[in-house]
Amino acid sequence: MEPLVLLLIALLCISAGLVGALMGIGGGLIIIPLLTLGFGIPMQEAIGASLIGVIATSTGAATRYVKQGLTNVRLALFLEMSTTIGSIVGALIAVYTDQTVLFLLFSMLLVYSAVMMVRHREIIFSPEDAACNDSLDLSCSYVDPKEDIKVSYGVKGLRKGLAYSGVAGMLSGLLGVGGGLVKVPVMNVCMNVPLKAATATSNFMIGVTALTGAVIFYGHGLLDAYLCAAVALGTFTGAYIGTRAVAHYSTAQLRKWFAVLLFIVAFTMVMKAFGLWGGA
Amino acid sequence: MSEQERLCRVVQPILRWGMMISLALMLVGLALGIATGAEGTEIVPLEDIPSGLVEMDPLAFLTLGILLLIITPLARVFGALSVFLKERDRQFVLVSIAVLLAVTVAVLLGTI
Repeated sequence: MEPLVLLLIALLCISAGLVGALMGIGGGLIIIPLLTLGFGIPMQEAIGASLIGVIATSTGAATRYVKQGLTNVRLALFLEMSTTIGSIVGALIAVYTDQTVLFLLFSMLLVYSAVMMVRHREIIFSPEDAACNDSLDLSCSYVDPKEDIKVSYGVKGLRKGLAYSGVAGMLSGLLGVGGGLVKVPVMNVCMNVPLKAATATSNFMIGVTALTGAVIFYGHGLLDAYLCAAVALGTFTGAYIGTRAVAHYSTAQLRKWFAVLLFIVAFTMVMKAFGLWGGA
Repeated sequence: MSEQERLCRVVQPILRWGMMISLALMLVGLALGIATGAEGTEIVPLEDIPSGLVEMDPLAFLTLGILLLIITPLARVFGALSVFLKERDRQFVLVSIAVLLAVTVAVLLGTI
């Protein structure tokens, strides 16, 4: 590949890292269309490079979010139990299911999540409220980077969270996305985790989910070394900027942007399902 | 210091250094590749990486950087596990081990 093309890919991937860090997703939804439609790169190579980019976004953003204390490490590990198993199951199902059905199901799920995001008002429970319900205490606190106030929250609905995270992992293995689009609303709506903490925690988790896929691609020699490096450098730069920009956006703004993103992706998925864009 | 703070203190440097070193390796690889105009874009098999590094093969640098990037999220699970072991937090020792087992299964399924 030409050095100039690599440079252009790296520059464009900055946007994927930026959105990924702000929304708690991997950015694969931007990287894959960019590489396949924009640069005519074969789908398999694009997915491989995207997974590497997703890990770079996750790690780059997590470095900052963990330092700020936004990431709930215990909650992340707890939910990773089911996302990892889910992504294995998803990858196995993907082999036997018609892609059109998958894309349509997924876009329905996205629209549902977007509506939930717009309608729902953020509720913050105190740790005392939630801790007594479950045997596992996942409560946590952080200092909001924008308001500069300490936010404490309890985590409830552990079983529900675990189940939905399994579904998120499954969709990740099934459709090659990070799964953050499911995890962030589930953590916020079902488990009462504040959006900023949910975003940071999802970002943190995505590294392990993508790692599973990346290992498979590495094992099969499906990674283009130069492409992966260009994508990783771009997404990392974007994640670096994104984690600094997050301080300037309020939760309500984040929520609105997130809903808009969900609708756009849902539309793209429907287009893909009917073969109108990029082929399914 | 709470367990959460201890976790952050262990996990954060793992992520940061894993990221920095892998980015540096990729940058070197990209620069070498562009400077020498070397052929090929495929990743190098694991056992050929050391000799490739000595020969200044850009692909060896890129592969090592990519591998390190992939391993970093896994390393932080081990980091968290070490904190839970020290704190004798039995529930979360089991949670961490469960995550590691699931990743192992995925790796085995992927490489077969």
